[in-house]
Amino acid sequence: MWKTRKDEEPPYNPPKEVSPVATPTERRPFEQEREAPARTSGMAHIGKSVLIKGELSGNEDLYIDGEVQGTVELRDHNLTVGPNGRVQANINAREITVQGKVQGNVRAADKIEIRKSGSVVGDIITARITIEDGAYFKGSIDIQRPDAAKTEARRPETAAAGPSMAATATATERKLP
Amino acid sequence: MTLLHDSLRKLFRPGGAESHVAATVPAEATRRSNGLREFCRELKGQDGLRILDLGAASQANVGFFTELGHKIYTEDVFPALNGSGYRAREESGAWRFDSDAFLAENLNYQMLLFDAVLCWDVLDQFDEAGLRPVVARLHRIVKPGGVLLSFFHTADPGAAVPVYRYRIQDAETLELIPRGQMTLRRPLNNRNIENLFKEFHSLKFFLARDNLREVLVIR
Repeated sequence: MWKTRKDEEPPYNPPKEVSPVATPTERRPFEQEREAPARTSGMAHIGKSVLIKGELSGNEDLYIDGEVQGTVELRDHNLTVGPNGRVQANINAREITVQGKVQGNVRAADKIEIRKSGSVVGDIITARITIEDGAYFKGSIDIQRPDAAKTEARRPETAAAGPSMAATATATERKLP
Repeated sequence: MTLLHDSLRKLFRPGGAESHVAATVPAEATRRSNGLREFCRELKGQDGLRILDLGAASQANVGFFTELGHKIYTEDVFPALNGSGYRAREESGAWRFDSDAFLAENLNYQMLLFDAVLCWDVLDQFDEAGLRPVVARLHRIVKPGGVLLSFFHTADPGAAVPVYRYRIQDAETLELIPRGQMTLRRPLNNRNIENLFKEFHSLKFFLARDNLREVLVIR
């Protein structure tokens, strides 16, 4: 009576390949995670789940979207603190862009830019500065423009095997709450 | 039909068709400032001065003073005042502004003295309990002979007055960008202000048409 209707069975559809779904990270109370831009090639990247304590130095550009405590030394290179970045360190770089939070003294040989989502608490020494409306800044600004003589006398960059980033630090990877 | 019904319902609702509350956010404005002009005149002929700006961080203000060869400090106290972090409970149970806690974290320059301070309308945002300790702190951090510019609203107490970001366009022109509102706590006439700054050397008043009293104070 209840004969199986084999001839009417729906065609077999093998399961489609399912692309992995990223586990959503927990949001901090009262804070929204902001989308960080795609990685730029040739730039070292500290992701938002990474915490570094200690001295961070290197001879390539650096993008920090995690947490750094200590010092950041990138004398001839650029630093970007991403929207989720939290840096409690003294910083020395050529150009610095702040979209997250920085607490510490900042020296930018060329320029520093504090975006509207950025916050800097500390003293700044730089040749040029840009502060977007909405940015938070507490500290002093000392404009020091390089002399022409100093520019000519700049020593040539030493040849290196490639860009490198050194961290005399304790690097831990943990999910930020 | 539903749309027509809703429209008719709104039309005959108490208050009329437009019963919504009108927006009270003031527009951006430019104003001439005699107080700023005199402030800049006091700095003329000098370079390397230390200037403290108690308003929002502003590209224009930073550029204005650094182009003149000065070093500028910025401390925006508005967010601190509008948070709930500086309240203390009195014995009666009422909350009051905790000026000690505020001054422990703000305007706290132990080894530094300033040649000039731009208070803008910050002092109007303190209540009676907070105002005098803050002015006393300003007296401590301004050098003798230093100059301070402050704005006071002349509206009635309890009135809602706008709070601005003050952006310097030139030595006598300000651009005002609204950033919120505050309730004016108490009236301050010239005599009140003189009494408030009694430890300072001298004061000069400038009253503008927009009911903002500008006061230049010499330490």
